Amino acid sequence: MAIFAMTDGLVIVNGVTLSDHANEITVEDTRDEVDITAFGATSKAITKGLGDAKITVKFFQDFAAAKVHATLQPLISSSTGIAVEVRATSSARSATNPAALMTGLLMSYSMLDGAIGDASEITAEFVNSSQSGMTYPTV
Amino acid sequence: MNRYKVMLPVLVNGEHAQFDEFDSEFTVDEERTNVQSGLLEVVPRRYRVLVDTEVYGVRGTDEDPTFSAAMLIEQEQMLVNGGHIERVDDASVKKTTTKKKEG
Repeated sequence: MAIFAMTDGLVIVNGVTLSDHANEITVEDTRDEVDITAFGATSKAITKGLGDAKITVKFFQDFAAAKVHATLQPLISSSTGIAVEVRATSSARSATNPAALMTGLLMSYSMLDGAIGDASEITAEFVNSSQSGMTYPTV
Repeated sequence: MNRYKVMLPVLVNGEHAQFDEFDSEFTVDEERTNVQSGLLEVVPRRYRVLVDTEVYGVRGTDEDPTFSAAMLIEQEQMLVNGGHIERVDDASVKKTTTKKKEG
């Protein structure tokens, strides 16, 4: 896959494909910066600490059965991590279309967020809830 | 109720050895603890997709709208209550394997 425009992103939350209601995806896989500079040092020394991961998706709200609200709302009261997967395209996972996959928790849910005349868009932020963090399966 | 497989070399509930399968009604917390610790694994079961939304790669309008998955109680509840899926052949689930021994 060469440089591409995001036109066919894939979003799967708890097994439910919600791509046709999403228009923005952000994947973050980070490590804490830990300062290990000791006396006598002339420059700061930094190492990597704990990892963290987050997937943020912007959805068009839909209250129909099995759509956005019905899929996301139960997650806010749940402490069970669920699989969140995104891909650059809806094609099968492959070396040129890897997935970003993590077990995550939905930490905030804004059922409505918009002004008059706006499309009803909401942002869902899934944070990492397992030791495996973010993985990038290709199969 | 879910069906579980014992994954560690211990006796569960005094009767289920490693790789045995049994049905049980754990609470959400009990189940999560047992699965996360690696003691138990949820045995996959079949589900039917009820809507024209893709769930586990299957749509309710597909020729075969069923799929097999190993879901935790709470994950399953979220999809059942959301109108996404239902269990297939619920009646065939064995209900006696956790029965206490009489005597």
